Amino acid sequence: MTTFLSLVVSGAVSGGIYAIMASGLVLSYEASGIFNFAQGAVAFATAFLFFQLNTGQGWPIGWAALLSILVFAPVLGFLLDRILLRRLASAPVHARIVGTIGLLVALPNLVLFIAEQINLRGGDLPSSTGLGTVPGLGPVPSTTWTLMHGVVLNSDQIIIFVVAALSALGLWVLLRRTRLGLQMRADVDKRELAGLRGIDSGRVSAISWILTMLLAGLAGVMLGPFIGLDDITYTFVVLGCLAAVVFAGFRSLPFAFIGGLLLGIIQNLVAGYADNFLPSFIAGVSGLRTAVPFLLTLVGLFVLARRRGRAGGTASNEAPQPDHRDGLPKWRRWLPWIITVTALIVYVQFIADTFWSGLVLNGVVIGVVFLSFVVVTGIGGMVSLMQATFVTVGGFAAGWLVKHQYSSTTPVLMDNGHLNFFVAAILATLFAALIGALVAIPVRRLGTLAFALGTLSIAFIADLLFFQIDSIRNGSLGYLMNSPKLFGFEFTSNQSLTMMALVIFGIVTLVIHNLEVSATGRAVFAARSSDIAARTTGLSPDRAKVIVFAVSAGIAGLGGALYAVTNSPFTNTSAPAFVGLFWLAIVVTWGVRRPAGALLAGLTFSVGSAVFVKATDWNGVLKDIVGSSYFLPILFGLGAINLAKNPDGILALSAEQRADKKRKREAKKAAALAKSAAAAGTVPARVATGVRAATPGVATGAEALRLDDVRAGYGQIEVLHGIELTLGTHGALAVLGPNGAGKSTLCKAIAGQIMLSGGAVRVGDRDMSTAATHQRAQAGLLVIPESRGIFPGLTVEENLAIRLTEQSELEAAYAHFPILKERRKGAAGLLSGGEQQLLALAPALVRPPAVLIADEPTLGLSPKATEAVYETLEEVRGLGCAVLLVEERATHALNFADTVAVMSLGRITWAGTRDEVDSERLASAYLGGDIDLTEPPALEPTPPVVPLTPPDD
Amino acid sequence: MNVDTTSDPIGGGTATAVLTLEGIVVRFGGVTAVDGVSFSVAAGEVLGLIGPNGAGKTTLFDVISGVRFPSAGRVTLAGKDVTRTSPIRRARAGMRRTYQQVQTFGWLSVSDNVLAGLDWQGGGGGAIADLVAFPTRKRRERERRQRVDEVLELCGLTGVAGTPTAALPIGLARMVELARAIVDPPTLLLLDEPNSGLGEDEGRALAAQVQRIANETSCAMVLVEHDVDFIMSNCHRIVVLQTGSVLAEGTPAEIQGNAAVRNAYLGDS
Ligand SMILES: Nc1ncnc2c1ncn2[C@@H]1O[C@H](COP(=O)(O)OP(=O)(O)OP(=O)(O)O)[C@@H](O)[C@H]1O
Ligand SMILES: [Mg+2]
Repeated sequence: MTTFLSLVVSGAVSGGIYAIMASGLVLSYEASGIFNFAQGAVAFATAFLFFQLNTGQGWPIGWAALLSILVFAPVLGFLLDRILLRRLASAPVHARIVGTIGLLVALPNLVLFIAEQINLRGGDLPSSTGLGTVPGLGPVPSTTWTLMHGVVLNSDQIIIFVVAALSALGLWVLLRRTRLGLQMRADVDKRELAGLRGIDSGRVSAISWILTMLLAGLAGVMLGPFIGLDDITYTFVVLGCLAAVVFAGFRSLPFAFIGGLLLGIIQNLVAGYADNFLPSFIAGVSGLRTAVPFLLTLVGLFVLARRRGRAGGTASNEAPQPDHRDGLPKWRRWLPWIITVTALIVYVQFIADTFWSGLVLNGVVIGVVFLSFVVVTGIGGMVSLMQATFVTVGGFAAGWLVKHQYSSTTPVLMDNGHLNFFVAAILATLFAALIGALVAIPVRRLGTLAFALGTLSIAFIADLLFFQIDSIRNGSLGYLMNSPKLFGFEFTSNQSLTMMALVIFGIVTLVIHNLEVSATGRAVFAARSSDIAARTTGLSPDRAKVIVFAVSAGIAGLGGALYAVTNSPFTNTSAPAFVGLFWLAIVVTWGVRRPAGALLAGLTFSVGSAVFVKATDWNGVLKDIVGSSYFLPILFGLGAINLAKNPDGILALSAEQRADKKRKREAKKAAALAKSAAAAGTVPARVATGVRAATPGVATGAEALRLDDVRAGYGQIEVLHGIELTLGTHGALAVLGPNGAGKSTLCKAIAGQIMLSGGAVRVGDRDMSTAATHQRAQAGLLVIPESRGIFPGLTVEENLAIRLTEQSELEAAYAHFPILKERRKGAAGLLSGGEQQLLALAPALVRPPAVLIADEPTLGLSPKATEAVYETLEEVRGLGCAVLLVEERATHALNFADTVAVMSLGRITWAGTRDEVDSERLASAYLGGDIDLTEPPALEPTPPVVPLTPPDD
Repeated sequence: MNVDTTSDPIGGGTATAVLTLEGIVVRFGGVTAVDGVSFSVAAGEVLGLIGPNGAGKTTLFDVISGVRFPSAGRVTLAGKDVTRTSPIRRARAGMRRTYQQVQTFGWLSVSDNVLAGLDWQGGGGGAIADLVAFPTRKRRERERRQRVDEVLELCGLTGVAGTPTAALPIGLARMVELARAIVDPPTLLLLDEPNSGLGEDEGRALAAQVQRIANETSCAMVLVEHDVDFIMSNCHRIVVLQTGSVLAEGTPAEIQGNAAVRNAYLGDS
């Protein structure tokens, strides 16, 4: 009994730490949409500082804690938010994962690097990783109490417990009960819309990261006494608490807290009683206790996937990234390859000594491994954190096959009673692919993040349990491999091995290309955009994903076999799970969508790690810096952080610049051409075509919104060519025009979602031309974007509450739209299309802004609901709200607006009062018939303003 | 298409029914979105499905296409009970649909989007064909590309065949969805608000396609739309849903004259 109780109590304490960590992770995920893999890294950095201040500099615990937890960690959070995390929030999911993994790699190394550099320059920082030498927050030495049955509790443990409970409670209140919390969740749910509703994303994101990092720092300092100061251990603890996060469904703070506690207790009990109920060969494995959280994570993920699976029908649309190679001629795509490979071959064959050619060989081999990332992440869009596991599987399989003695003597297949290496490598590839398929079948339905966590858990379980078993790893010495032979030729030199590896790399690249343009490749890309549409088109995303994952596992396995033969002996530490994270960071840095990125990443990885070995021969500062073992991880960590946003990494940067240059060149050419044409008199000088649309009230009343010569577009392409309009305080203006006229772009330009390249936007009497979206919203401008202007992940009531802060306003909204009341506790994303549109309009109708801009407000509404909306708009107008409606079709808008403007090809081509509209003119204006619009826009002189005379009343 | 409602022999008769729904019920927790809906669609028939927002039209499409299984009731496709078969199997049996919120495959070009509609038939060599460019795979793909080109031409998409669909304006994107749905000639086509967000011209092009399919093939169609003119001029028969149940059923003329429908859905327009 006593054992049991002590196990539970001490388990609850480590559980308390898990609980704090888990709360921090849930907070970061809820409030910023990023799952912070670097939580442990921040915890470590803070604890390290605390240790240096307290033990090293002799500061009292209070001051040291104050500076490290309340100053250092939050400031770190603030800075990271500014330079990294905020940008990541809008990046694709895999980029978000990679970004914080980059941080996980870089930060601890940076801390240790700084300490090392200080000591190299005569500093005297104590280094301690020993248990019991690191202080916690409690008194040193800690006070101990003995409870019943002789269970002992100390002050450090009690502090942890109390802090865990308080922080979970506090965060829950923040997220669920405060406006700030609501804004945070809205911002994560749909960032563009949050801005339109006046939420300052920058502020919200900064606050959430400051809090997250503070929590991480706090947990870090409290952890010190229990685990010492080792960065890997810290990260392990954080990854361990994944189980609690998954238990909480990534969202629920109370469950994260309970889950954390349970996790600690279960882990302790397993460790304490494993001998009693597990077979000895498993119980004897040293990693068992550490593996428990990962096993639980895996179980949790499956339960979660089940629950999600039933909710089907919502598409997780992943926005595609443009490929800058599009439009390049074939030879231009091949040229870099040919040059690089030729240079490599020449270098290895004729120039390099054994040391360097060995590095190149290694780089190409690792490049083959990295090709597996191109398949799984580049094509499949899945983030696999277990590629290192497949490398080990491949290496072990090849080793096992080659080691065994067979009686057959078939010439090519066999070699001295052993299997030929190449045959073994093929079999190992197939075996790894099989394991990959077996893993993929259960995990294929997990979302991107869950998939990453699932594969990470499997990787650690494999490392901690399976690869510890002697019959699998061939003892601690691993597998010894001889040089491969083919048709009597023995690959012994680095030169011949490199050629072999290059050929294999080439074959794998071809296979990847075939896969990408195959039916399976298309199915995967289809499912990345819309899983459900893929299914109803008859495609099987599951099958496609399993194939892609298996292929990637096979490639990693092949890489493992090659690695085993070039780095014999191959052991269970040749490719540990952790290195998989580092690999991903490097590949992403170079570009995960292309084989070229894999090759370059492999070479950098291999050559880079050798540079600091070489650096020991150098002198001075360079030796200190480059020679530091921390240098390379920092470099690649930072690389991944910086480039995580771009799925094509460094390779894309150059391609992007090239594309940019080309665009500019073409623009210049066109301008020159036009000039000479004008000079030659072939193009007639044109009169202005821009028309100012103005509502009648303007002459007498105040202006609510005024646009002067507004020009805007996307990148280099100008879409709006000088829009002029004025909206009086009670005015109602309808902007009509066909698709592609630039109506939605106009809305974005007014809202501040795209910046103006010329002209001015005034709201009331304030110039808002350069103001941020949320500032314009706060100034009284409310833009309801085209279709689905709601936060799908928030409840209906929360959607309304963002604007409607008073209870009475909520009631008014429900009175207008009773259906919303019925659904108020449900997620807004589950509403029907029309209900969502009503929800988007409701806040504006109940609490009208000074200027309301609605882009196709009645899209998807039933005829009756459409009428109701227009009636309400009429009322709102009576209250002094100026309304600008954007519509595709004229029908309803014509009855409502007092002025109508027709847009075509980025200009207002006609404007007049409702009575002046005659359908024939409208139709021809739609088609741009009145005016000649055939000229290139770049030529256009600024159109002089042609104000409409207000009609006589 | 001449909708001759007086002498129209098709519609309703179970003998030629492509799709039959019997007593479909869908509950979401406490909400009953569809509450005992039954109707059938015959080959070559265009059925309009209208009703107020939240009436359960899209949910019904989800049930028919297999995206969601009903809490009760039976779905029969060409005489076979498919109530619990997966959407993939139903699509392969000839059922295709479009979505209220356009769902094209944004990573793929327009022609690859449409090609994806034929991909389920296999690449000519199973999973291995995905990795190796066998001649069989190449030949099959060539044949399919030909069919894709025909459909692109038909839908007026030839000019944008190579553009990634993520960059398309809504009108074209809806056309791509339609092309993807008809490239492998379906026996049942479900269109969820195909006309919404389209300009006048695009709407006309869409109507022309709907009529062409109805006239030239034996495909049964179900149309959900809020554009009353579009529905009235393109459907043989109309079913009106309200809060999950059938409020009325009849020819366009009957529906337009129905007071209950005017009251619940059409308003005074
Ligand atoms: N997954 C879900 N969970 C809860 N309620 C849902 C879910 N899906 C739909 N509903 C509800 O079921 C009802 C029917 O929705 P459905 O999308 O079928 O309506 P609809 O007829 O297509 O309406 P619209 O014309 O607005 O598109 C709605 O009230 C909606 O809120
Ligand atoms: Mg619908």
